[in-house]
Formats: sequence, structure tokens, C-alpha cells
Amino acid sequence: MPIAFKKKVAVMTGHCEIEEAESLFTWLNEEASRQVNLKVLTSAHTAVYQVLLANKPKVSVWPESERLFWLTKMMNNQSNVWCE
Amino acid sequence: MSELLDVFIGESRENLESASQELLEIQSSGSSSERVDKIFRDLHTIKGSSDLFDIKPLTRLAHAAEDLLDSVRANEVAFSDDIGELLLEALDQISIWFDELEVGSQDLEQWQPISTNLGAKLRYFIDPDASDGAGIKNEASPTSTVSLDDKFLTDEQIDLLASFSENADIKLLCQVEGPYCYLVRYTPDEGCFFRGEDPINVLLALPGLKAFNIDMPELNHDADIYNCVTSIEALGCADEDAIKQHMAYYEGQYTVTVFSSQALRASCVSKIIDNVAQIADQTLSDALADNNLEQVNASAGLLLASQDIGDAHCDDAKRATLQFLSAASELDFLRGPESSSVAETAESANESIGQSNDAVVGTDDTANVSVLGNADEDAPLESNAKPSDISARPEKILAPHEKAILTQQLTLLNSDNYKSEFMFPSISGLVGNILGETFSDEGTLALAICNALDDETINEQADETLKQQSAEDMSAVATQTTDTPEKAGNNTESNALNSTNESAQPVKAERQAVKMLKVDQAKIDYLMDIVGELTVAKNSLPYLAKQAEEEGGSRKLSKQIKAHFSIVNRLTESLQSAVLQIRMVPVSHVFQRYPRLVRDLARKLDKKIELFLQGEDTEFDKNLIESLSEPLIHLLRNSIDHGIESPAERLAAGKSEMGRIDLIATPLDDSVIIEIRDDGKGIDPTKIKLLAFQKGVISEAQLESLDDNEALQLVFAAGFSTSEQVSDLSGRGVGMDAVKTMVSQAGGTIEMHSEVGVGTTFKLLLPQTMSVNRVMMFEVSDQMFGVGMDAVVETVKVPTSDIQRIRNEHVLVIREKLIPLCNLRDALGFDEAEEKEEHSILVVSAPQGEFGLIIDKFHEGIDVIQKPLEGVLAGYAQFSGTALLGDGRVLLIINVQEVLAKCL
Amino acid sequence: MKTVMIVDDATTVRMFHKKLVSTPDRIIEEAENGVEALEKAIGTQVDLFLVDVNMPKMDGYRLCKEIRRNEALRAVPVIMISTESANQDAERAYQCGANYYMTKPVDADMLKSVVSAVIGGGANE
Repeated sequence: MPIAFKKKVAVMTGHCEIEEAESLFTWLNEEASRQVNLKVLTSAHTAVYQVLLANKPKVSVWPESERLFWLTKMMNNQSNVWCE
Repeated sequence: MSELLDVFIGESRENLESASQELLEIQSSGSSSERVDKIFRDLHTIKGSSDLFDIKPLTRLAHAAEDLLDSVRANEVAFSDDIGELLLEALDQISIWFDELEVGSQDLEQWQPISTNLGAKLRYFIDPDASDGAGIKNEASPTSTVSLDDKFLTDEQIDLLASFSENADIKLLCQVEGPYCYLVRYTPDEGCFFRGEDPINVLLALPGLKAFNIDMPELNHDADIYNCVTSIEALGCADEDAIKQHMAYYEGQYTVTVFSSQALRASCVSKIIDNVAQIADQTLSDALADNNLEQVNASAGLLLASQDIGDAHCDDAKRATLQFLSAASELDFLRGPESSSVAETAESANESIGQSNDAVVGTDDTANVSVLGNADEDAPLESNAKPSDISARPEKILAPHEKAILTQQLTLLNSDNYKSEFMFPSISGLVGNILGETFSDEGTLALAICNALDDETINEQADETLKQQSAEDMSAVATQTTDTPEKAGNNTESNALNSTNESAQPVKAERQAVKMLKVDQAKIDYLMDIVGELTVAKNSLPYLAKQAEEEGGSRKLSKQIKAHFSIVNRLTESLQSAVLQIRMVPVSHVFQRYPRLVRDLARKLDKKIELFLQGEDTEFDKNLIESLSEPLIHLLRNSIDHGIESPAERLAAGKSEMGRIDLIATPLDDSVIIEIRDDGKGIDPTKIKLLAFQKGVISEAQLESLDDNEALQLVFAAGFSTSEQVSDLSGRGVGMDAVKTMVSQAGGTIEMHSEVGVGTTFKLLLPQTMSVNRVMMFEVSDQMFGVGMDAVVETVKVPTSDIQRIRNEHVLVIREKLIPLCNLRDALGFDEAEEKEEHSILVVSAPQGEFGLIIDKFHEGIDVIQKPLEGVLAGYAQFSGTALLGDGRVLLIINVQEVLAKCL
Repeated sequence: MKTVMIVDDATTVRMFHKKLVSTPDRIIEEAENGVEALEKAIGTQVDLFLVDVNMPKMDGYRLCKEIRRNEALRAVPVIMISTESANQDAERAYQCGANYYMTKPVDADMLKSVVSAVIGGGANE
């Protein structure tokens, strides 16, 4: 299961395919306080990123993967991201 | 796309093969214009087709070879052995690349230098004076319109960078690698997810990506999250080709601007100087003034580390400046342009705008549209407008394809060599199709085109959809009307390349995934079964149409169903042939095992035999070919064992010591003929007859009446070849009936010809595929039967009185030919029919001649997939198979030969 | 039903063009050279020729001329598609009676649009 929906936190794991986007979106919309745990997320389909970037839910743990540095930056409202 | 690639490789390999053969011929027996022409054409085909794929190095090499041959063809260059060797080398190289393409291991970057090198060598022969690779350079980067010589960024590019982010230019400069930088704006369509596109991951994989923005609106609770609302801007370092390759799948959704790193640096100079001034570090300023690179690097690095940089606002820019200076490898560029004011920079930028337009691919074309409006106010209104009026401002007539077509038709109408008789019909028809009018003469036609062109222009500005037409289309259209073909031609070519090609990485990935697909044959058989059922289901449509007409009384509905049927019919046929195509393999798959077999067997028997294969590339259904392998081995063994004599015998008979067996496959319509010929001792028909009589295969009467040819076919008769002795005496016969059974099970026939002392030939006629059979349906005693259409000669209705009786047999005379009749009611075990005045007779052909089958009623022909009889029916030899009818009934297909055997 | 005849000696190119212009409401005929094209076209209803220039036996120019000379085929539009982008080729194509000229490899959407414009159909593909 790439996304495990717990009580308050959705734990996203590995690569999240487009199919996950809808459930994540609905789940986040059900309650404004819901959070995402991105610790072990490695990559995702654009549709999933879209849900994260457009609504910027609270993040309980930021991604460990270096490849997702940009997601951290963007979800922290940085408008453009430079690769280091 | 990969199917296309397979076809391409297959076809091109043939071309390569034939070209190399011709080259070898030329080397051994001299050059001839025909041969050069042939090679040219082969390479031309390879080049042309390769253009469809993203394998530019291969295309370029083929192009170079083609050009060289063209020069040879035009007698501008004399053919020499050196040229021949070089061409062979090029062909080999292309062949190697095909190998790589086939397994998906191609590395275009590795190809590139090889292609350039060989191409240059080839072109050297065309024009030794041309500076090394001049032609190649021209070819090598057809899409890179950005020149390294561009000194400054254009205003447009500066604006783009500024809109990306503040100080994007200088920040990019810090990270520059390679001669080119790019800015991509990628706005995926809303529906792109449904095409499997994944824009952000495409972005992240951009070559040389340095920075990016992702923009998207907030999503409402009820937003459709499968709509892509993301838009992307990216900055990085790579050339235009690389970007276009990467983005090839997303044509029309992105724009790219490419500029040289040098221009970027030059345009940053004033900012760098400003920032250095603001940082106001004495050491750094001094070092810069002294042009002391080491010192500049060191102090900038120190400042960067100390992070002692002014206010937050300029933080970014200063940090970038320091970062850049700390790693700078030269400072000269700062010196010269010190005098260059911003104004000057802008001026030279303006100068290069012309070029930059080429570099900016697919930017927003609102500007173009407005230019268009102006241009077309002056467009010709009169029908007698001269072509020159149109071509006078061709580059302004940027219109969608229809406009281009219309313009071209007008040009044709007005051209000097316009001949009404020849050209009017097609032009008026074509224009009529576009405009929805008909025209009777040139005047009204030309006027209509002019008016249409004008209306179009007015509508155009209002029409949003036209604005969305990509700039590529625009420029492609422009080529058709423009009078500067060289430049525009290149343009079209490059654009076309982009939209039709796949980028290197995706190709690789796809090829590796798809490549040669190994599929369990059962799956294909299953597919075949489904297609068979579809064929049957399709057959029900005509029934339905008939019913709609007869019972529903709706002719209209019936007509519609029929129209629909023709479409379904065509699609089913395509599907079927596609599936059958999957199963086709060249006979070489089986043939290639034989040379070894022949050699081994011959050695064992101390015979000298050579096997010659012909037509190995003839294609065959895989199932059939495999079922054939065994009978063919049987026949070959027989030829080796009993056909070909020992060397001593051969010499004594005045033949060469070496025996010869030919294995030949020849396609014939939908069938394939396979012949096995030996030049051995042949078979004596009298001996066969005698043996057959002894074995009780034939009667005494037959012993007298059979002619030689008929006698020879007796080797296939069951019961003839059971005894070992037979084979010893006749030299033939081991398992021949088994061979015949296998062949007829595969739907084929076998015959044998032989001449004593000269040799024996076995000839197998086999269907190429297990395709659908067309059968003719008929009725006997209220039951439907079918008979293979190829057996049907004609259908006749004759009055009972015409049927004569000779001895104990019914016969009919048709066109002075005596046709024996067979009553199918008898043969199939039905009750005798009541006396009728007229009989329906189906005349069929069998190996023994033509026969008439008396049936009750004729029905239409129909396509069926024949299935073998199963279960209890399997014992009935009168039937060769069954098929399902559209209305669900089962059709029994009769085996003409068996029925006749029973009947006569 | 409209019939498009694709004339090109390269199977790959024929297949590619066929893929592009195929729609359920079109019949696609193929020919490897001018001679075959004429043989096939005479006696069939052809609505559009897509013709390659460089072919064995009878090249595209000749074919185009023959089409124009043939009373039955005269009214059929001809689109020439050539590898050569040189201007004189386009000119020669038009002199021989082609209605339109495109360079290979053709832009996929462009070819689709042009064919749809000329014979209709296939627009909403």
C-alpha cells in the first residue's frame, strides 16, 4: 500500500501512482487537520504531486529522499527551486 | 511505433543486403549505371524511412552515402574501389546499428562520432575541397539555430529569465555547464494524464536541469484531480536537440528558448560589476582590478563562506555573484564589456532578434496572427491575380493548412503551364471539397479561393482554436508558400522530426520493454480463436439485415446494417490478417536444420550430396511450418537414402560424383509450393504398379489402366509402404502415406514426379496461413452443408430429363463434357428425395476430374474458420470440418474427395 | 467511404503514412511504384493519391503526369511527399500536376489535417 491512511496522518511510501491521487485528495478534504507523512516517499505521479502542492496539507515528516528536496521547498512556499 | 521499427529494420536489411551484393558485383565485374542506380535507391529508401525514427546518426550516414552515389550516378564522381570499400564499410556500420536497434541497446551518442567520421569520408569523395565536414556541420545540427557567436541575450530572453525569477540569469550562470542553456515553458494539457503523461517527472528528468517553477491553482473540494492543472518552467543547460528529444512526446505543450552560455555570461557582466560594488570588499575589488584570477577565486570563496553579505533583498544575487567569481576560470570577459553600457547590450540584442526568432520555437503566436491580418488585406482579390502577387509577400501568409492548400491551388491555376484540361478537374474538386461549393470554370474558382482566403483571415482572429494551432504548423505551412525554401525547408524538417520522433531515452526504454515479444503460442492461438468467433459473429449481420427488411419491413435499417457490416467486415479482416501475420515465420526456421542433416546422413552412407536451399525467406504460418518439419525430413531422408546413388554408381551412369538435392520454397498466391528435387536414380512406375498389385492396393484392372504418373502417386497410398521389402525394391515408400496424411492435415497436397535415371521431385502445395476459408453453402434434406469454394467449378440447375444413365452411373453432359454425378442424399445417408423436375448440381473439381454433386438448394458463399471434427464426428471422413454460422447453426463442411470415393 | 492510395517504395514509409491517414471511414490502398499504382487505380474509385517522388519503375513525377492524362483519374487530387526539400522538386511536382507538396518525414498532424481537408472525414480522430 503506497498510502496508508491512519486516523490523522496519511503515510506515503515509495512511489505513489496516479490511482492514489483521488483517495488522497478525498481523504485530505474530509477534514482540514489531516496531515501527510512523506518520510519514505520516493516519487509520485504528477497528479499526486498536484494534490500535495495545490492544497499544501500539513506535513508531519518531510521526505528523506534527496530527490524530493524540491517538494519540501515548494510545499514551504518557495516559488522556484534551484538544484544544487 | 515499435512495430514500425521492426518493419523498417526488416525492410532496410533487405536494402542493405541488395546494396552490398550490387557493390560486390561492381567490384568483381565493373560499375554500371544500373547497379549504381540500384544501390542509390536502396540507400535512399533506408535514409527516407530512417527519418521516421530518432536515429539521426544513421540517417545522416545513409544520406551521405546516398549523396555520394547520386554524384556517381550523375557522373560527377567516378566510381573507384576506394569508394566501393567505403560504401561497404558504411553499409556494415548501418547493419551493426540495426543489430543494436533490434535488441534496443543503441547508444546514439556513440553513433554520433562514427556517423560524422564515415559521413565526412564519404563526402570527401563528392567534394574533396569542401572544408572538412562543412556539409556535415550543416547536417549535424539542423535544429540548433542558436549560434555560439551570439554575444548577448535578446531582450526577449532577458525578460523570460527575469520572469522566471529575480536574478535567474546570474544564478543560472553559477551553474552553467556546456555551451547552451535553455528555458522551457511546459504547460501540459488538462487531459494529459489520460494519455499516460506525467509532466512533473518529465520535468525532473530534463537533461541538465538547474531550476524550475511549478505553478498550479488551489484545487477546490470538487476539483477533478485527474485534470492536469500544473504548469512548469524550467532552466537548465543542454542544447535544443537534447530538449526537443526529451520533450518529443509533448509536442505542442511546451516552448523552448535556447541561448548560448557565453551570451548569458556577457549579459550578466553589468550585474556582476554592480554586485561586486555593493559587496564593497576591498580585497575582491582589488583582485578584480588586477585581473588576478587566483585572488578573485580565493576572496570570493572566503566571502561566500563567511556569508557576510548585505541585506536580505540582494542576498541571492550577491551570493550568486560570489559563487560565480569563486569558481571563475577567466576574467577577461569582465574587462572588455566594462565599457559596454546596458543600452549597447540591448542594441546588439536587438540585432540578433532575427536569429532568436528561430531559436524560440513555438512561442505564443498572437503576434503572428496580427501580422497576418495586415498581410491579407493586401492579398489578391482579383481572380487574375498573378502568382507573383502572392509570392511577393509569402512569409506573411502564415495560415493553417487549408489556407496553404488553397493558396497552392490558386498558384497552380495561375501558373504558366496550367492546362485547363488536365488540371481543372482535380483543382476544382479539391477546392470544392474544402469550400463546399462546385465550380464550372476557372474564373469563379479563382474568385472563390480569393474570397475564401480573405474571409478566413477575418474569421481567424476571432477563432480561438486557430490560435491554438501550434507554431510548428504555421511554419510548416509557410514552407509551402514561401519562396525561401532553403531555410524554411530545414525548418519544416526539424519540426517534423520533433513531432514524429521519439526521444532517445524513451525509445530505449520502450524498445527494451517491447523488443521482440516472446509470447506463449497458446495465447496467439486463443486470439485466433476469438477472431474466428468474431468472424462468425460478424456473419450474423447480413442475416439481421435480411430480417430487418423482411420482418421489420425497414429497408433503411437493413441498409444501415449492411453498411455497418462492411465496416465490421473490413476490420475483422484486418484483425485476422494481423493475427495471422504474427504467426508468420520464414521457412528458413525449418530449412536451416537441413544442411546439417543432409551432410551427416550422406557421410554415414558414403554418398556425396549437396543440398541447395531456395526461397528460405518465404513466409509461413508457424504451426504449419512446424507440422511440416517432420514430413520434409522424411522426404529428404528418402532422397538421400534411396534417391541419390553411391558415387561409383553415379560415375557409372555418367553423372557427376556429387549428388544434388534442391529444397525450394516458392510462394504462389495464398499458397506455398515446396519442392524437393533430387538427381538420383528415379522410380520406375511399372515396379510400383506391380508392387501395388501384389500388396492388394490396386486391382488387376487398374494394373492395366493406370498410366505412369498415376502409378507414381501410388507410393502415397495407404498399405503400400508398410513392408520393409517394398522400400528396398522400389527405393521409395517408407512412410509415404504418413507424409501424405501430415500434408493433407495441414490442408495441402503432395504429388511426385520421377524419371528413371534422372531424378525424383516431390511437390507440396500448402496453404500459407490457417486463414479463413470461403465456403459455398448448400442444402441437402433441410440441412446446411458447406464445400470449400476453391473446389467449386460451377453451379447448374438441370431438368431431370437431362441426367443420363451410363451403365450404372448417373452422368450429365455440360458443354460436351461428361460429368459423373453423385447424389449427396445417398452419400450422406439421407432418404431419397421425391421425384423432382429439376435438379441443382454443384460441379466440383477433384484430382480425378470434375464431378457433379446433386443437392437440394444452393446458398450463398460465406467466410468461416474451419474447425476439425471432434468427438464422435471425428470418424466421419466425409466431413473435413465444422464451422459456426452467424445464426448459431453448425455447418458441416464436406470433404469432396472422400464423398466422391464413397459415392462412385 | 473514401479511398486513399499511398504510393511509396518503402514499406516503412507506406505503413507510417497509412497509420496516419487511416480512419474507419477510409480505405487505404497501397502501391510500391507508379506502375502498380496505375494498375490498381484504374477500375477502382480512388479519392486521393499520396505519392512519393523517388521510386523504381515509374517515379512520382511520371505517375502524376499519367494521372492527369488519364481521363478517369484526372480529377483525383495528388499530394506529393518527397524526401527532397529542394525547391525545384516542389516546382517540378506542381508542373507535373500535383496539387500539393510536402516534405518527408511529414509532420504527422499536418498530413492528417491536409488529407482531411482534401477528402474530408477523420477530423475528430
